[in-house]
Amino acid sequence: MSLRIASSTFHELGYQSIAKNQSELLKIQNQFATGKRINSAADDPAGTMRASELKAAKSVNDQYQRNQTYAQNSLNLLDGTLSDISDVMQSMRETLLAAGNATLNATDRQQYAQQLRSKLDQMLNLSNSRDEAGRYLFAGFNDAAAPFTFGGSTLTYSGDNGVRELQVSSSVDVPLNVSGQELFVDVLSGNGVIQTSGAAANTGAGLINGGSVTNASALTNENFQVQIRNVSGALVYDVVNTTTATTLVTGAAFTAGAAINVGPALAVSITGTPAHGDVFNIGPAQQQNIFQSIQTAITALERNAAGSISNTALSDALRIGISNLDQSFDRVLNVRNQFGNIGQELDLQADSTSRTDIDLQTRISDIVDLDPIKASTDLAQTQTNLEASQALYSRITRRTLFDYI
Amino acid sequence: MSLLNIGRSALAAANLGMSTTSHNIANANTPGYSRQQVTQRSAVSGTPGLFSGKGVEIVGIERITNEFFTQQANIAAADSSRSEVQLSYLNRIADLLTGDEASIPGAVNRFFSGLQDLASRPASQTERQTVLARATSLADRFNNIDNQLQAMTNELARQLETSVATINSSASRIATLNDQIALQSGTGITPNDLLDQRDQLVRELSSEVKISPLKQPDGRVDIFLASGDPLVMRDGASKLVVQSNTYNPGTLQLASTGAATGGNLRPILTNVDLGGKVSGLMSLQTDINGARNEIGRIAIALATEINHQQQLGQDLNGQAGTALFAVATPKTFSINGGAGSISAAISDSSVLKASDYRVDYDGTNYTVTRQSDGVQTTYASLPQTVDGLTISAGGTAPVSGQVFIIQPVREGASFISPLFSDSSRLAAALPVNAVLNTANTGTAQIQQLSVNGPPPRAATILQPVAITFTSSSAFNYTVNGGAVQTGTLNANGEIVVNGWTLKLTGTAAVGDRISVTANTNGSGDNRNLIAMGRLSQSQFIDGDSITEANGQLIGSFGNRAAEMAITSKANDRLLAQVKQQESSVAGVNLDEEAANLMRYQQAYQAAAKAMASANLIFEAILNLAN
Repeated sequence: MSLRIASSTFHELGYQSIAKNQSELLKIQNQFATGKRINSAADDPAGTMRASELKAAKSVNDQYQRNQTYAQNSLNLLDGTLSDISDVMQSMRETLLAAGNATLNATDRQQYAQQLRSKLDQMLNLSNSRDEAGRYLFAGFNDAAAPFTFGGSTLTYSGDNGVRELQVSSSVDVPLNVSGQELFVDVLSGNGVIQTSGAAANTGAGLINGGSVTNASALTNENFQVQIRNVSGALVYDVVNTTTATTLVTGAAFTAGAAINVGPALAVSITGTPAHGDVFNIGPAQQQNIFQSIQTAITALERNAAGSISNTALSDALRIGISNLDQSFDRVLNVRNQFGNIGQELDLQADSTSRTDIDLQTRISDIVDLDPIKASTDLAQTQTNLEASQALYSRITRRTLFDYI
Repeated sequence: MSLLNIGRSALAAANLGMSTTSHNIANANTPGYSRQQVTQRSAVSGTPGLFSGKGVEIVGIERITNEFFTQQANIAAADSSRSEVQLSYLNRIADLLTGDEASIPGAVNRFFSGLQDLASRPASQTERQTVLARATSLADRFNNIDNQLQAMTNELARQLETSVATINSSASRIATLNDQIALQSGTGITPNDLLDQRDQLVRELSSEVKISPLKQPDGRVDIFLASGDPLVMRDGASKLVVQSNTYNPGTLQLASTGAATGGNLRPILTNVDLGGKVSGLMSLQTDINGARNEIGRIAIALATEINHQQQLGQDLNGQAGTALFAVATPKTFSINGGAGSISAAISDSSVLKASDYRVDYDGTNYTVTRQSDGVQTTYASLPQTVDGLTISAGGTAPVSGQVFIIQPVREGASFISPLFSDSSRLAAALPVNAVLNTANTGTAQIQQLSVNGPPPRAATILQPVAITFTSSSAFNYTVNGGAVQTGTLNANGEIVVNGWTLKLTGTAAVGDRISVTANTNGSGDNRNLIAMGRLSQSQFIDGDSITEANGQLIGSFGNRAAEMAITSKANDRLLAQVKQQESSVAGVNLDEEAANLMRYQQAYQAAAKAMASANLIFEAILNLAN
C-alpha cells in the first residue's frame, strides 16, 4: 500500500520548490547588483566582522597616506625656502669677503653696504615665508602673524618654539616645521663655543683670529683679555681673566701669528702689529642672529667709508660677521639635512603604507567582493533548478483521472 | 419485497457516497478541510436462523483525521511563525548595522580622518568645518540607527497588538464553536464541518501562540497557553491584553482577563516562553533593547573620550575647549511605588556594560543585578559604583522593598549630538608650551608635553612655571613666580606639575632650566588633535577599541540572523513535512475521489438494475396471476 497523497500537496510542493529557487535567484541578483558577496551581516557574520576590522585598518592606513603626502609637500616647501635662505647667506658671505679687500675705496664699501642691506631685506622676507594657506613657516605654533621684525639693530621673534607633528605610520610622527627660534635665533656667535674681537679703541693693526679650544674639558664660561704692552720697544702681552680679575700671564713676548694660551682651555693668535694698550677680548659664544651680525658688518663698512674706523677694525668686524654667518649657515644646513632624512623616511613609509593598502584592499575584496565566476555558476545552476521545478510542476499537475472519465 | 428494499438501501448508500465524494471534491481546496468518507456495513437479517442479507446500512459519515498529526502540525506552525518573525527582524537589524557608508564604523572613520586632516592645517577653517560636519554626521548615524531600532520596537508593539487581536478573535470563535459542537454532539450527530472549522481556528491560533488543547467528553476543547493561563474554557474565552512591562521599562507584556481571573487583569509571566509569533515578538524586544544598549554604550564612551580631550585643550580663540558632544545620562525608574528614590551617574565611561540594572532594597541591603547576565552584588549602603556607574540614594532614601531599574546607556545613541557649530571652538592646541633654556648643558630634550586628565584642567595651568634642575632627577620650580618648590622626575622620566606632564629624553644637568608657559596665539598647534586622533585606536569601550566593539555588535547580530535563518528553514521544513503527513491522511486526492465517484456511480447503476430486476420479477408474478 503506497502512501496517500493529497492533491493539494502536489501544488504546495511545486510552489515551495519554485519559491525557494526564486528567492535564491533574487539573492544572486542582489549580489550581482552590488558586486558584493556579503550584503548583510547575516550572509557571513565572521566575514563581516573581519571586513569591518580590515576597513577600519584601511581607513587608518589611508589617513597615513594622506598625512605622508601632506608632510612630503610641507617638507618640499620648507626645503625650497631653506634653500633660498642658504643661497642668500652664501651670497652675503661672498659680499662680506669681497668687502674686506684692502684695495677698495670708500664708495666701493658704501656699495657693498648697500648690497648687504638689500640681501638683509631678502633674508627678512624669507624668514617670514608663508605656506599655501598663508600660515607663517617659521613661527612655531603662533603662525598667524609674521614672526620676525628687525628694527635696525634688534631682531624680535614673536613666534614660539612649537613644532607641529603629523602621524605618518603607527609608530612614526614627523615634524612639519622648524621654529624661527631654532633656525635663526638660537644660533651662537664666533665658532659656536667662543668669540673673539679686538677692542674698539685699538690703535694698532693687530688682528685676532677666531681662536680654538685646546682642552674642551677645561672649558669655562669666563671672559678673558689679551692686553698688549710695549716694554722698551718690544711688544709683550698679558692674559687676564676678567671674570675673576686674575692675571694669568704677565709680560710674555709677543710674536705675530704665534699661539697665545688663554687660560687652560683656549688658544688664540694675533697677526699684524698691535699697538701698546691694544686689547683683545675672548669670551664664551653668545646668541647672535644673522640679522644682527650682518647689520653690524654693514655699520662697520659704512663707518669705515666715513673714515670713523680703521681698516683693521673693519677687517675684524668682517671676520666676526663671516664667522657668525657661518654659524647661521651651518644651522640652516643642519636643518635641511634633518628634513632631508625625514623626507627619506617618509619615502620608506610611503612604500610600506601603499603595500599595506594593496594588501588590505585585497583582503577586504577576498572577503566581501563577489567572485563573478562562482556567482555565474550559481546563477546558471539556480536558473536550471527553477526551470526544472516549473516544468515539473506544470507536468505533474496537468492531468487527473477526471480527464479520462 | 426484500429485493426492492435491498436495492433501495444500495441506491441510498451509493447516492450518499456520491454526494460525500462531491463534497470532498468541492472542498479539495478548503483550508483545514478533512476529507469525509461514508462508513457503511451490510444490514443483517432480523429473521432468526436465516442469514439472508437485508442490504446495506449507513453507519455514518466519518471525518478522516489523525489527531496526532494535527497536534504536531499545530506545534510546528507555532515554531515556524516564531522563527519567521524573528528572522525578519534580525535580518533587518543586521542589515542596519552592516550598511557600508551608512554604518557607525564608516562615520567614526570619517570623523577621525577629518581630525587628522585638520592636524595638518590646524588653523584652516575649511578643515575645521569638515571636522564639525563629520561630528554632526557621526551623531546623525547614531541617532538614525537608534531611531530605526526604536521604530522597530514600535512596529513590534503594533504586531503584538495584531497578534493578540487575532488570538482573542480565534479564541472567542472557538468558544462559540465549542457550544455548537457540544449541542450537536448531544443530539448524536457528529458535526464534521464544525470540527474542521474549529481545528482550523486552533491552527491559526497556534501560529500566533503555542497552545495546549484539552478535549472534553462533550466535544469541547479547553485551550491553555504555555504559561498555564486558560484561553478557552467551558465558560468562554479569556481576553488577552498588551500592557507595558513594569519591571522592564520600554518593553511590553501580556495580561489576561476573563471568567478565569474573575474579570481582573492578570499579567502573564514574562519568563515563560509562550511560543509562536507572540514569543518571537517578545524576545525581539529584548534583542532590540540589547542592540540599543550596545550602540548607546559605544556612543557614550566615544563622546565622553572626545569631550575629555577637547576639554583639556585650547581652542582657536585661546579659550579652554568645551565638550563637543552632548552625552546621555542614565535613566532610573522607581518600579513599585514607595517614597524613596535613587539616582545614577556615569563615573567611568570606559568600563560601562551594555546592560540595564535592577536595584532591590530589602531594608538592610541593596542588591544590584546586572540584567544582561544576572550577576548580583549586594551592598549595605549607597553610593556604590558598579561597572563605571555610580548609584546614589536620592533626596529621600529608598524604603524597604523598593525596586528600581536603571538604564544607563539605553538613550546614549539617540542623545548624542554636537554642542557647538563655531568651528574655531575645536580645541586643536594645548594650553601650554615648554621651552628649554638655550644655555642648558645637559642632553635633556622635550619629548612630549600633555595636559593631565580628567577634565577640568588645573585652574592654574596657564600660569608660567620655571624649573631648575638640582640634579639629573630632582628640580626646583616656581609657579607664577611664587615660592620655590621641589620635585623629582617620576618613574617614566616625567615632570608632573601644575596640571601638565612633561616627558623628557636625555639627562638634565644641574642648573638646566625649562620654562612652561601659556600657549598664546598657538594657531598652528595641533598637539591636542593628535591626542584626539589617537582615540581611534585606543580601547576605551570596556577594553575594546571602537572598531572591535562595533565588530562584535555586527558579528553578534549577524550570527543571530544566520542561525535564525537555519532554524527558520528547519522549522519551515518540519512544518511542511508534518502538514504533508497530515494531509496525506486528511487531504483530498482528486484521483481517489474520481475513482470513488465511478465506484459509487456503478454501484448506483447496479442497485438500480437490481431494483429493475425486482420489478421484472414482480411483473412476472402479476402476469402469472393474469
